Amino acid sequence: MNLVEQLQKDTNCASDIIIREITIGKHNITLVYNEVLTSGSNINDFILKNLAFLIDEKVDISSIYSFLYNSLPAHNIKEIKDYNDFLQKLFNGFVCLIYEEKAFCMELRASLDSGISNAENEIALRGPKDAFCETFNKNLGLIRRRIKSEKLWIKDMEIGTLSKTKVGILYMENIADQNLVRNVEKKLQNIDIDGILDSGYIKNLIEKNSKLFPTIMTTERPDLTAMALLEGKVVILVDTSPYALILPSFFLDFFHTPDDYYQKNFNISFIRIIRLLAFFVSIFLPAYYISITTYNHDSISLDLLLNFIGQRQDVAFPALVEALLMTISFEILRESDTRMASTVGSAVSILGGLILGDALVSAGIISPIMIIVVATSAISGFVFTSIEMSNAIRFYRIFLMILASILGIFGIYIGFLVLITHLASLDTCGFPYLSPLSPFLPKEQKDAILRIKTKKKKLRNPLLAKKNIVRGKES
Amino acid sequence: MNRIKNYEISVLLFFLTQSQFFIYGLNSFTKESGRATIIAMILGSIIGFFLLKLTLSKKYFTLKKKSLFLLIPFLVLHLSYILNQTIHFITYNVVSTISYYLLAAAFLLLVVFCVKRGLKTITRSAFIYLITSIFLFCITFLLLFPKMDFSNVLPLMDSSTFEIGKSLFIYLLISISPYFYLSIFERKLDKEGEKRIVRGYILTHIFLIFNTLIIFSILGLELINLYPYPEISIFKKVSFLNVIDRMETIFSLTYFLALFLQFAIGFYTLHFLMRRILPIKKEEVSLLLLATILFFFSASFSLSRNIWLVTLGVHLLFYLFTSKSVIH
Amino acid sequence: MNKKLRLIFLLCLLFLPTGCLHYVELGELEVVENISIDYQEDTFQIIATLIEKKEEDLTRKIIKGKGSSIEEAMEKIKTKENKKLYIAHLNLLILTPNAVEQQLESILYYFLENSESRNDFSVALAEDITMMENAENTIDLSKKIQIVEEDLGTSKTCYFEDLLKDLLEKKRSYLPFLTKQEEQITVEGIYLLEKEKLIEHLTGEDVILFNFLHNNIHTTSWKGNKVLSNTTTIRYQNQKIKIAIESILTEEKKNYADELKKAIEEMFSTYQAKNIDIFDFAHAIKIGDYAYFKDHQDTYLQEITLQIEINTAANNQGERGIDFHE
Repeated sequence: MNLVEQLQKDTNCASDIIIREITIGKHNITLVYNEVLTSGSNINDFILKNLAFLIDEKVDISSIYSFLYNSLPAHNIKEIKDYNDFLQKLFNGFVCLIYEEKAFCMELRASLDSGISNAENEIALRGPKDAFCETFNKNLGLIRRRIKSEKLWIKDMEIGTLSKTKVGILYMENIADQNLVRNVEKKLQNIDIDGILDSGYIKNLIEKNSKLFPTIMTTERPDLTAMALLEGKVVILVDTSPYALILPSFFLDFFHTPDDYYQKNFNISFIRIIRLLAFFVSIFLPAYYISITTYNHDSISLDLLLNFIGQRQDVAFPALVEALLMTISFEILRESDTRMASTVGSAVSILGGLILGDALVSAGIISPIMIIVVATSAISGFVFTSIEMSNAIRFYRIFLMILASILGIFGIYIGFLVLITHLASLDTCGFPYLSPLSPFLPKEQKDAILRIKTKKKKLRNPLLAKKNIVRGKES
Repeated sequence: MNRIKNYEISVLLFFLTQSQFFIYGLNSFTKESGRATIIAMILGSIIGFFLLKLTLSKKYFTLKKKSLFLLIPFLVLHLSYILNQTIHFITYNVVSTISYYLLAAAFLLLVVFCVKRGLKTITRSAFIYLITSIFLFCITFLLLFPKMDFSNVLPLMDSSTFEIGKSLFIYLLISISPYFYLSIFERKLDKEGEKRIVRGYILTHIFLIFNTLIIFSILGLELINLYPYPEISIFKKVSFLNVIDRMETIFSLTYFLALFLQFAIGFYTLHFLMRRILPIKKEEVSLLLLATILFFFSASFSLSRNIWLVTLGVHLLFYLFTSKSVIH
Repeated sequence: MNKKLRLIFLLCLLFLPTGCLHYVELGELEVVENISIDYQEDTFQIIATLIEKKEEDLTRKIIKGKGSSIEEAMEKIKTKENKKLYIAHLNLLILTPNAVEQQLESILYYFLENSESRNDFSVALAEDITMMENAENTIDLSKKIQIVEEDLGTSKTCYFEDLLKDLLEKKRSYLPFLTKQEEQITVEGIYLLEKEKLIEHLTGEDVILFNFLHNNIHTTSWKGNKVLSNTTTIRYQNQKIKIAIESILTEEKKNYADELKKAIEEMFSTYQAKNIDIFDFAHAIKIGDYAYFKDHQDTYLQEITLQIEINTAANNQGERGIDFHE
């Protein structure tokens, strides 16, 4: 009774909270549940029907509480310890049964997610297509399907003083470094926030040392998550979020996709080189173009130089202004395309393309070569599935363009050094971000940039898998 | 994880040696000893090798920490000269229309940015620079191979013993003085660490001698003596199918990386020493102050190369006559 | 304090874009293809050929300048639009005999010290630079010299760096010679340059022999023999210059080797009498016996003898792989 009164007072008698009093013989029991978070049909079929049977049979049970606790057909039944526990269970889709001073709850959640669908943002050419959804248990299930080991441990906690979002830390107990797990756990416990609505919140709160490059990977793919766990990494699952967090994530991890392990090594090595090339082209190409058209005209052959002179004859603005104009226009177009409804989006893209393409050139605002340069660098930046990586590349692209316009190729030298120094100064959960390149780990090079087949025993990353470095072997 | 690894020290020492050799200039050697510079380099490397083996594991006397501050004026001179030479290199080979002051300011800001992030970051990024340098070097070597004429290297013995000896001494000075920084990087070197340093030394000098042979075979003695930067002039000859053409400014990055690391390590050392004297709490303030001092010093005074060689001599003496772990 | 410091720092950073003042837009450049320099009556006369692209076509125009120094002359060359002359893509430098004999050092140093100049252009000699005033005549002149060198062997391209190197090492070099014949500019052999004096004009077969001994034959025709390729090695041993020539001909003729040997010996004797090391044996002597060369720098030419060995092979299938004799 106290629980119910307190609840009514705290929720101001919220209309979605159902309080149902049932009399069985001489006993009064109270059912409390949240109508929107629980499955009405399951409550009817598994709770109310059974209670109705007891009422009909006029059963007189001396210990109704323990009888109901043991006999009601619910897969997950827990005792309620106190009022806070009662609230936590109520708002997590549990049906609470109160008898006198005691109470227990039964899990009968409603399915409020989009279901397990295909991955939309990380497309697999060859490999599993399922993706995480918004339900914690389903996501955990997708991972457990792939790692059927008792060593896959999970530590639960609730984060968010008001949202009380369920967050789980997953790791392989026989592989992952315990210091890493403790470190992650401590970071999560230190989070003081009203509500966690997505894994992105947690990512921003624990990823404090890197403002540009991502040091935590987010993924919607269970196969990638399972792969990371087998490497000795730690995964964070967040209820109501279809993205899992993988940490630590190194710089080269963003050049890898799960598909890399489903195809031939030779092809993948080639693709990885292309990705690396795309990274550098995306950052350096516009800056290089600006420097050769402003300071270092001798860096191009005579034919190209004459072509560029001809193209830039009628352009009113300097190369930097052209480049920035194109880049900003491209970003506006991309952003509007993302936000627009799909029915209108394609029309906007065509219009934007025409404006950016033909009309700007005809008006003498930009030169044709600038469109090629900016478009190539922008497209190269989208080789990565991580949006943060693309954003970091964009920042550096603009930074280098400004440097190149001030200092020519020397500006590009400076930009290159700033980029490398920045990457080398980052760490991800205490591990160097540029690993295995720097510090150089020779045995990890077979899967760093190139993917090389080796007959030797396959080893895990020595930084992460200190407990069990040999694959296919229990510790 | 926080300890600087032995191979990272070797990488840094490679760049320091390469940079010092570049700053002194191959043409300075050839004006003394002509084609026999190669003989001087080989002999200098061998003598340096034995000297290194003898002195790496030394345990003799340590300078008092107070007398470390005597290094400061020499380091200031050393860094001013390097800054001057770096900017001159940039002005001559990369961008000729931008003023000295702007280039120096930009370079110093870059160094402050890197040094602020610590020695660990500098050493880690040095390995990436090594990969970049090797990559660029391999491309240039492959594309310059058809243009090499090894008859330009002959006759080898075209100078007197005295001239060869002079070049040998300077080469030795340039090769061993960077090891002074071992007292900055490493508390103590174990046997494995010593082995790696020695291996790094051997590879560094093989590279330098090989590079010199390539420059000789392409340009010949006369053009090496004529050009202020013969090492960069050979890059102008790199050409492949009109695609890789006129890219000497890109290939020059290899030397710029060496100059940058040389300056950054020196700057870090100087900053470390100066913080012991100046009561400035904030690191950014002391870094910018030091950068400003070096900026004005290098812009106002044009130091001669002999003064720079004297500073190298001080570094060498410091390395030879003290034990390690003096500064930390 | 921290905020103030950051504000000061940002203000200082605002000065960085002053670097933008130094950049040159592409549209402000005039690309120079050829430069011709004459020196008459203490005045440098310069004719520059500018190249530009207008709607898919390459057009050339000529501009001139005069000055008491080469720097002044180059300064005075201005186009109507007052654009900057850009010499980084210079193809050919043409000098007159006067310019070579009186001002060669200042001309070479001008290009050497100019940071824009990449020193990868070729150099040639012309009797008179007025023939360069017709823009059409100046099209692809350096390529013309190259074609004559490769197809006929009657000239030799001289690059700026090679010229510098030869002058520094041997104080001797050569320059391809351009003349005007029937309104067209043609390549007429080479001029020998020794100690800044033009001493000899070689044409025809003399140039071919010169190219044979400098291992510069690509294809040529010599006394009715079609030579497809050639390799010459020169070694020095005990005051003997050993010359080994291996030629591939379209058709092997018995007298080719004898005639070539005789011609080389005759040419060598002619220039030996004039004390001109026409075939540059000094280089071989330096490599073979540096000590001897050092002591006999002025007399070695009179002391050496030749030992010539010529091997030939026939490539009966001709140039297109078809056997014309079947």
